[in-house]
Amino acid sequence: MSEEIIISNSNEQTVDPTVSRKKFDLETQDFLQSYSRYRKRGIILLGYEFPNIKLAFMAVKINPAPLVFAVEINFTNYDLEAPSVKFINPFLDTPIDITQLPHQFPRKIGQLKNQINLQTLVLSQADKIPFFCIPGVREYHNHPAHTGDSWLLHRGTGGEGTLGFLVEKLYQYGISGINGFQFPGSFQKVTVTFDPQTIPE
Amino acid sequence: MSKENKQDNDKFISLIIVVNTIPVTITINENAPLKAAAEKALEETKNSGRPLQDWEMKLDDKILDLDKKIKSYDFPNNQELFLSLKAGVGGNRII
Repeated sequence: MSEEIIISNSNEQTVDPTVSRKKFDLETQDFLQSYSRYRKRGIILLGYEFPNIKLAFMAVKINPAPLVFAVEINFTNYDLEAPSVKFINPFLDTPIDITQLPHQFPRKIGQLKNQINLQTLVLSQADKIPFFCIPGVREYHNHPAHTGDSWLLHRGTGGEGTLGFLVEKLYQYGISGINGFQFPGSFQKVTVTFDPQTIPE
Repeated sequence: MSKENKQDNDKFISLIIVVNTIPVTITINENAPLKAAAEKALEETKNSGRPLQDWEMKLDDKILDLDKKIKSYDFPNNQELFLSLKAGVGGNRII
């Protein structure tokens, strides 16, 4: 009789918590050892306690450096499940909706003469809850459109779904291409601008 | 080969390569391609699950050409570089 692996889509811890906690500790220890490097790039640790780590991302190449977004990365059931990435208000610790993000994480997917083709890596459904749509993120693997790309095909093969990978990709697509501010008619909500040439592929 | 040329060919440099948060120091001949340093860094951090072409090396957010010789970049000793796995295919909305 074959064994069936059932992966829950909830935040309930079904994996032995000792295992997930140990793996969470290893991930956070590695990150903390390199924290000074990440902080120089504008990645600020807001706090961590199993199963969550909260980080803010600031665009330090522009002045004044804006806090562009913050996330809570959740390691429940890690690493039978990929970590979850939720965008939060860094001051209130509450989830935000997609309209509260200053941009949607553009990725360059091609260029024809002066036409740069981009896709957005942060998406939402009718609930407007933003999710980071790349392999290695729980929301990507649990999405009905990605049932053919199971997390178990990625787990343990080079870093997808590790804290270091997620931090790097959130920085790469969320921060690294930002080159200025954009002031709309109302100064209530200032947005950021990208240099099209420096948007990562 | 003259002694001078041999010395030039044997010049070594140390690079600090951060792989998924873990820094490793790689000492390597400057005449080697950058991919040789990347391969050593992946080996030392036990990241052998994915081929080298799935990885990218960056300095100040700029992606470096792994086929270029290390000395062509004129790195100082102990230059810090970030080596990370490329993001897989995701997203679905074209701007």
